[in-house]
Parts: sequence; C-alpha cells; structure tokens
Amino acid sequence: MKNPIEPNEYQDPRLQNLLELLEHVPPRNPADEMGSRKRFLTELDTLFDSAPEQPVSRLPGWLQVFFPAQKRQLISPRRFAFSAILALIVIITLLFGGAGATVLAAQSSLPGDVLYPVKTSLESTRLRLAADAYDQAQLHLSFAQRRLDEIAGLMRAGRAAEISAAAAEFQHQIHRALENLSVLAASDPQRASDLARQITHALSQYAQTLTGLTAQAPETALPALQQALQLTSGQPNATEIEFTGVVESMADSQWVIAGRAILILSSTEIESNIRVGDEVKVHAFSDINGALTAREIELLSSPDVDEDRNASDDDAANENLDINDNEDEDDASDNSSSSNSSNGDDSNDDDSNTNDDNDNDDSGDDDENSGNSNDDDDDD
Amino acid sequence: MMKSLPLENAPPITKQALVGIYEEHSPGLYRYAYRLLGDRHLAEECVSETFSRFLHSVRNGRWPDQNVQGYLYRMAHNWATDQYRKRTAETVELDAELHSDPQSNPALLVAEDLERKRVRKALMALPEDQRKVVILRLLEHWSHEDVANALGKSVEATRALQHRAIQSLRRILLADDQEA
Repeated sequence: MKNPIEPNEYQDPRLQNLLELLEHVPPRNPADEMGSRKRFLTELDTLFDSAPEQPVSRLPGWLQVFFPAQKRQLISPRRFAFSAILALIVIITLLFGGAGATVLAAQSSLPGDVLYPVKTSLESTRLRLAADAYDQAQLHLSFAQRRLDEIAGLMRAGRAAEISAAAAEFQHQIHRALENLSVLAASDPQRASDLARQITHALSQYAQTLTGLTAQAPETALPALQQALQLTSGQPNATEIEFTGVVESMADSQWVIAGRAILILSSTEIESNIRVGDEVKVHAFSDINGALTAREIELLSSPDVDEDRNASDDDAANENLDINDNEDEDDASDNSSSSNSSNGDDSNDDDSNTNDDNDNDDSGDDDENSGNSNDDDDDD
Repeated sequence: MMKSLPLENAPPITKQALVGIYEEHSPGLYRYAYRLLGDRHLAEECVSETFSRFLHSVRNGRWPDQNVQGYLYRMAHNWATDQYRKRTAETVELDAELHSDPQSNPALLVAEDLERKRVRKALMALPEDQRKVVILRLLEHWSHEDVANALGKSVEATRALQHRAIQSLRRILLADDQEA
C-alpha cells in the first residue's frame, strides 16, 4: 500500500473489521465495462467533433485526392462540416454501391480518420458475435495487432498526436484478452491453457514490434509506447501482489494456484522442482481487472518432500552431486562450509548422529535444515 | 492506487486528453460507486453517468477549475448517493453481494452480507464530506493530501472530518456491542 492506514485511524479494531467488509470490490463485468467505454467514446465524438478547438479528423488517404489542398492541415469547422458531409455521401454511396468497399476502406483507416469509427464498430460487432471467451480473446489479440499496425502507420504518416491513444487502445485489448482468459480458466481449464499459450506467444511478438516502434517514435509518443511495452513484457501498469497457495495444475503458460489462474511468461522466475500439490508463494502482477501475470513462483513446501523427492529422486544423485545439490538450497548455506554440504543433504534421511554433530559445530546448518520449508523467509 | 492529476497545468482539451482522463479514473470511480452501492451494474452506470456529465460540462466550456479528480468523484458521489436513497426509499433490495469464497459456508456469507449492508447504511448516515473521507482514505487508501485535494479542503480539515466520521461510525455501528 502506498498510503498505509495506521491502526489508530480507526480508533477501534472492531470498526476496522467492519469497514474492511467494504474493501472487496468484484471485478467489472467486461461487457458492461465495454458498454460504458463505448458510450463515453460515442458521446465524446458527438460532442466534440463539431467543437471548433478540436483537431479535426482527417480523411483517409483515398479520399484525400478530393482535397489535395487541405492535405495534412487542420480543417476549419466549415470545411470540416463540408468534408464530413462529403464523407457521409461517399459512405452512403459505398453502402449501396458495395458495403464491401466501405469495410475494406475502413479496415485500412487510422485513428483520427473519418472511417476509423466504422472500423472499431466492426470490431465491437465481431466481439459481440464471438462464441465465447476463447474466441473473444483471440479477437482481442488480433485487434491488439491492428493497433500496433496503426501505430506504425501513424508514425509513417507523421501523425504523432494519435499514437498515444492507439497505444492505450492496444493495452485495452490486451487487458480484455487476459480478462477472457480468467473467465475461461474457471469454466474450461484445458482451452484456457491453450489460450494462455497463445497470449504468451502474442505478447512476446508484440514486445518485439513495440521495441522496434519505440526506437523510432517521436518523443511525445514515448511514454505511451513504453507503457505498452511494459505490459507486454509482463509488468503491466499494475500492482504487484503476493499470495501463497497450493499448485492445482501446471500447463505451459498457465498455472492454477489456490484456485486462481496465473499467466506464466518466459520471463517468469520459477523455482525448479515445483509440482502439482506443492505449496508455493506467488509474486504476480495484477492488472486493474484482477488478471494475474506471474513474476516469480517460489516453492514453500511440498507434501512429499521428505519421502519422495529427496529420498528417492535425489538420494542417488546426492552421493555424486553434493555440491550441485547444495547450490539449489538456500544461499546462507553456501558460505557455511563446503564440508557440511553432504551432512545437510543427508539430514533429511535418518542420519541423526551427523545431524547432532552439526548442530553443535555450526549454527549455519540449522538454517539449512529448515531451508526446505522456509525458503521464502531468506529470500524475502 | 490513485494518481492525482496536476490540474493547475491541465492539458489542452483534446479528445485524447479526455480519453486519458477516462482511462485513468474510470476504474477508481467504479470501485468508489461500488463501495457506496454494492451493485456492479449500478456502479457501472454511475461511471457512465459521471463521465457523461463531465463531457457535457467540458463541452459547455466548464473545465473544472480546481481538479478533475475531485470533480469526477464529487459527481459520482452525488449520483450514487441519490441512487442509494432512491432505492432505499422504494425499499428495493440491492442485490446481495455474496462474494464467493470456497472456505465460507452459506450462512456466514449471508451474515456477512447483512453486516455489509449495515456498514453501508451507517456510511450513508454520515454527512457527505465525512462519508467521502472514509471511502477515499480508509477504503481507497488515498493519502491525506490527495483526499484533501479532492475535497478542496486542507489536510487538517480532512483529518478532523475523518476523526468525526470514525466517532459517528463507532456510535452507530458499535453501540449494540457496547450495551451487550
């Protein structure tokens, strides 16, 4: 918390408990949220398109042949009204002459173009028609790619002003895809893990594209692009949370821990040896909608750590690979003494004599013995 | 977490700036309205209404002079309070908020829900500014400075409001416990 509340601000712990009942706010319903946003954008367009002080939408390239003189300049309100009417006439003509042509023209439009709202409306329609969260997420990913293409197009056209909005829209699409993923995780874990893989793959591609774009972006667009880049590299503009829980499933790109679906990126640090059933500590970024992206997953304890894993799997290896094994354990033990390493490993079995000796010899060994279950204390 | 918008150097009013304001504040406004109303749809409607009024104000040349954030929360607050009163007057039950938690049993969830409604009712019984301070400071965890900024008051004044609000809430909510 950036602004922690001091307990005395409540004056009474019972009141604190009561007020905390109102702390939890369920995530926004994606459809409602989209509805609100759409209403806002529609009103924004209606109210401000006729406002004289607004930078006016430009005509798409193919319409500019009608207006060679006013290419690349702000259009006066009267002229804008005229051009808007003309665009409308063209749209109507195209609608009756061939809706396909309008759609085609709209598809290549850029933010700020007259036909751009047609493009976004088409996208909304496609989303509404999508069968389920899985399909919706895939659409969101493809729309995110479109936003990146648009950013590139805006840069080529030297229209820096619209880049930030397109970048924000890009982030919006990613958030929606992640939201769909968490919806799907609850109902269909198998497809959710497939989707998680696709999202991870898409994010790494977006990150590459964005890195390229950022390198040649005008200065005004940099903050928005960097923010988008952060999102794709797994550090969304979000708070980091920590929680512990039992690993319920582990697919490539998505794990379920304590009932929560978590996206695993290639950059996620994962302690080796974690298996389903282990108790782990998760450090994850939670975006505003509650979608989780893991930064790090630590092993806390494992139900079978004494019997199965150490005894059967590692025992044979221990004889030859004492030192390597020691490295996997906590850092404090590395310094204690290399001659202790074999004792430390064996202590999990039954060698109580050696263990006692060590307790007397070197207090560092105590840490090591408890290291399996309390790794997090040391790491934190 | 909230970010305060530097209002004295408010950005030139462009569509992008307005979209930016929407992106920045709509999640917080949703949470704020939800805390007052306990209903997702109403909270969402509150966000829509607030921004609609905001756009109309800006269109009519009334850019909030002090700060956009305070202005938005004030409008959301008024709308949500009206709705709450209207609903309570019509004795329409707001939807039960049974936050699912596998570890809770249904009876516990219902009890919690009743308790939540009681807290909300107590909150609504506070004077407006006190209510705002409780939500922004204790539930949204804003800093005292940000709360003061949103209310257009000094930090000392908002701290005093918070103190009085807490005392009132203790009186309303904990009175039964004390008698028992």
